[in-house]
Amino acid sequence: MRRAPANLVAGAAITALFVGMAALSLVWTPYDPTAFNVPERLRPPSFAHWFGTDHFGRDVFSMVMAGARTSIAVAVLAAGLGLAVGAPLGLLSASAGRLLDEAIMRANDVVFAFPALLLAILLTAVLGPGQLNAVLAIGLFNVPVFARLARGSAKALWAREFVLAARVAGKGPLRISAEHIYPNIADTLIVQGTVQFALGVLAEAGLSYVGLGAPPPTPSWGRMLAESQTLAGVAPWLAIFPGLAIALCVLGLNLFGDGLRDRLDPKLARAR
Amino acid sequence: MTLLSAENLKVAIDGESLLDGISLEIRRGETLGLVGESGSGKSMTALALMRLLPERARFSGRVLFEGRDLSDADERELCDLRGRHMAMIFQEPMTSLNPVQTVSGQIAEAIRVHRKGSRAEAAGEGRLLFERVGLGGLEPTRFPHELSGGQRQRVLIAMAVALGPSLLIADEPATALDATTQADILALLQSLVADGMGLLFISHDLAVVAKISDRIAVMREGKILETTESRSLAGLRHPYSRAMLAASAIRPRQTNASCPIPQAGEGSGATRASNILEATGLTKSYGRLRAVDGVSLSMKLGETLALVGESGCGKSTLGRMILALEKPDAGAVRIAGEDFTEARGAEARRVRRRVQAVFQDPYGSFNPRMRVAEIIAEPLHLAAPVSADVRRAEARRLLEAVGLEARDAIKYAHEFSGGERQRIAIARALIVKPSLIVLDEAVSALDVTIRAQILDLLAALRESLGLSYFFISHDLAVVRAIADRVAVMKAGRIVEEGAVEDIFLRPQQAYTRTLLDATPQLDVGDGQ
Repeated sequence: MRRAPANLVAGAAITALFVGMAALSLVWTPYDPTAFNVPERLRPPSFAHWFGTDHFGRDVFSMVMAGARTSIAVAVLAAGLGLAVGAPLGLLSASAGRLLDEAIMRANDVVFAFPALLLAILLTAVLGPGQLNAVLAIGLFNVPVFARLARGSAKALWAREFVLAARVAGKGPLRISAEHIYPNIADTLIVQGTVQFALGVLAEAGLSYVGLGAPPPTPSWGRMLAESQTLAGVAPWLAIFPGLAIALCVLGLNLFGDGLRDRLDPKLARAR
Repeated sequence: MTLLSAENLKVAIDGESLLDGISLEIRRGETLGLVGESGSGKSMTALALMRLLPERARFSGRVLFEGRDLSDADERELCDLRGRHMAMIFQEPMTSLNPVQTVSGQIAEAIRVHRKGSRAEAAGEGRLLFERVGLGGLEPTRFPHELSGGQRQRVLIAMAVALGPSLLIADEPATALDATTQADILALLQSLVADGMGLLFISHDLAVVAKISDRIAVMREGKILETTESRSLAGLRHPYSRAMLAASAIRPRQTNASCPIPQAGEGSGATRASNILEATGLTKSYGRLRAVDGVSLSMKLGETLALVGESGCGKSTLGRMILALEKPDAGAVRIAGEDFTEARGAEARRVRRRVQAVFQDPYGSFNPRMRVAEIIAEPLHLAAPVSADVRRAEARRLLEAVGLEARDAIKYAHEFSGGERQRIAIARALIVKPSLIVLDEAVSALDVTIRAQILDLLAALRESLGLSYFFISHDLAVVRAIADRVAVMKAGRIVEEGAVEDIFLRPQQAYTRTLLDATPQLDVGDGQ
C-alpha cells in the first residue's frame, strides 16, 4: 500500500471535526443556543462570543455547533434512506427480466426529471416542515441515484464469469445479488453515499433557508443564513460563520469521498 | 548485416528486476522469434528496445540500431526513430486504433507525422499501403469497429510499415485472431521481411514462432536462455526449452476403437448410462443474428465431445444453452434423459448437479471477495444442506484431488497463478459429483506447460471419475489430445461431426480442411 492520499486524510479530518462538534453539542455548548440575551445582541466576534451574537443575543458559535447536529442528522438519514431503498431496487433491476427492469428504471427517470431541491421543497410544503419530512424529501431524490448506480455496476458484474459459475451452482438471481453482486459494488455505493451526504447537507440548508427544515427554535445553518440576510450590512458575521460551516462541511465530505474512492479502487489510484 | 543489436539490457521497476541482461541481434531481412511464457519479459524487451518504458522503470544497457548508439539519444531523436525507422504492432488491434477516426485517416496521419506532404499525397500513399497489406477492396472511410479482427491487424501493420521502417516489432500480433486469419497475417509479415525488413516476432506459441522465424530466442524470467541459429526447433537445447516444446507438442489421444462406457452395468438401465447429453434443434437468435441454428448433439456417458470453430461461430452460446444459462428460442436439452431446458426449482437443481462448468478466464471466474473454500463449496447449494464443517472438509478434499493443498482453502483466488486457478475451478465443478462438465475454452488462457498439466489432470479425472467432457475450444491441437469425437461449428451450425481421428485425418468438409490447414504444426525436426 502506498502513502495515504492527502485528500482522504484532509477530508476525514474535516468530517470528523463536524461530526465531533455535532456530538459535543448534545452535551455541551458554550452558551445555550436557544437562549435569548437581548443586552448582548449583535456583538461582533470576541473572546466571550467567538462567532459573535445574533439579533436576539444568541451565541452564534453555539448555534453553528448545534446546527451541525441538525444538518448531519438529516443528511445521514436521507443518504441512508436512499441507499436502503435505492440499492436493492438497482440490484433487483439488474437481475430481473426486461419488463421489471424497464419499469423500475423509468420510474427512476420520473423522479430524476424533477429538480431535486424543488421536489424536496414541494414535498415538505405538502407534508409540512420538520426534520423527519426533510429526511423523507431529500431521501426520495437520493433513491434513484443509488438505484441507477447499483444497477449499472451490477449489470457489469452479471456478465462476469464468477456470476456464470454461481448460476451453474444453481443459485437464483436474489441469492447471486446478495452474495456475489452486492459485496462487489458496496465500495462504489459507499463512495456515492459520501457524495449524497454532502448534497444532503446542502439540501437541508436550502430547505431550512426557505423555512421548510427543522422548525424554530432548533438551530439550523440554513435558517441562520436566512435570518442574517437583513442584517448582512450591520452584522456580517451572522452570514459568514454558518455559510463557512456549510461550505467547509461539504468540502470535507467531498474530499473524503474522493479519497475513499482512490483508496477503494486501486486501478484508479494507479492511473493518477 | 546487423540491423539492431542489444547488449545487456536491464530493466527494473520498484526494485524488481524484469529484464536481467538481455542481449540479442536482429539482421536485415530476418525474423527473430522471441518466445516465452507469460511474465517472462517478452513485451518488456520490446518496450526496452523502443525505449517506451514506464516512467518508474530503471533502464541500463546498450542498443545499437543501424550502427547508431541509442544510449545517449534524447526523446526527440527517439520519437523520430520510432515510426520512421522502427515500428511496433500489438496484440489487440482494436485498442490500438482510434475508434472515432476512419482507418484511412489514421494511416494518412501516421504518414504526415513524420513526412511533410499534402493530405492528398498521404491519402494516395495510404491506398497503396492498403493494397500492400491485402486490404485493397476495403472502403477507406470505414471506422475500426466496422472491421474484423484480422482487418484491424492489417490496418495496424499498414500504419506500422507506412514509412518503410527497417525494423518491425510485433508483440503477439496474431494471438487474438482465429487460426485462418492468423495464417494470413503471418504470411503478410513474411512477405514484408522478404522485402528486406527486420522483424522481431514475439509470441508465447512455439508453433507459430517456428513457422515464421529464422532464428528463435527463448526467454524466461527476464533472461534469454538460448538462441538458435536456425528455424528448426531441433536446435533448442536448454532443458526449459525442451520442456516447453514437449508441452506444446500435444500427443494425439490414444483412443479405443469404440467409446469407453465405464460402469455400463450401473444405474437404472442401459439408456440412462448411454446418453448423458441430448440436445435437439437448439436455436438462439440475438436480434437478427442467428447465433445457433438448429443444432442437435448427443454424448454418451464417459465420452469427450469437442466443439471447435472460429470466434463468433456460436460455440459459447451453445455451451450456455447446454448449461441452461441461456434459454433457447427452440429446441431442448436433456441431461441423462431428463429435460433441463424447461426444468424449474428442485427439478432443475437435481439436473444441474449432473452438469457443471469450467470457464475460460482464470482471473474472472471467482468472486474476488470469497475464500477458496467458499468458492469450491458453492455448488453444494444444489445438494441437501450440509454443515459448514462438512463443506470445508469437502473443499479441502477436492483441493487435494486437483493437485493443490488442503491449506489453500483459506486463501483468496488472487493469491494463485492462472493454472492453479483453473484447478480451483475444476474442483468447484467436481464437488457435486457431476457426470458432464462443460469446459468453455478452459485451457486457452494458460501457458503451454501449465496447459499440458491441466490437460493431464482432466484426463486423469475422466479416468478415475468416469466423467464426460463437452470441450469447447478453438485450439485444434488441444482438441486432438483430449477428444473422442469432434463437432465443427460454423455460423451457428454443425458442419461436420465425427471421431477425432476421422476429423483430423479424413476431413470431409472444405471448412474443416481450412481450419486444419491454418493450424500451425509443430515441427520438432530431427530431435528426439
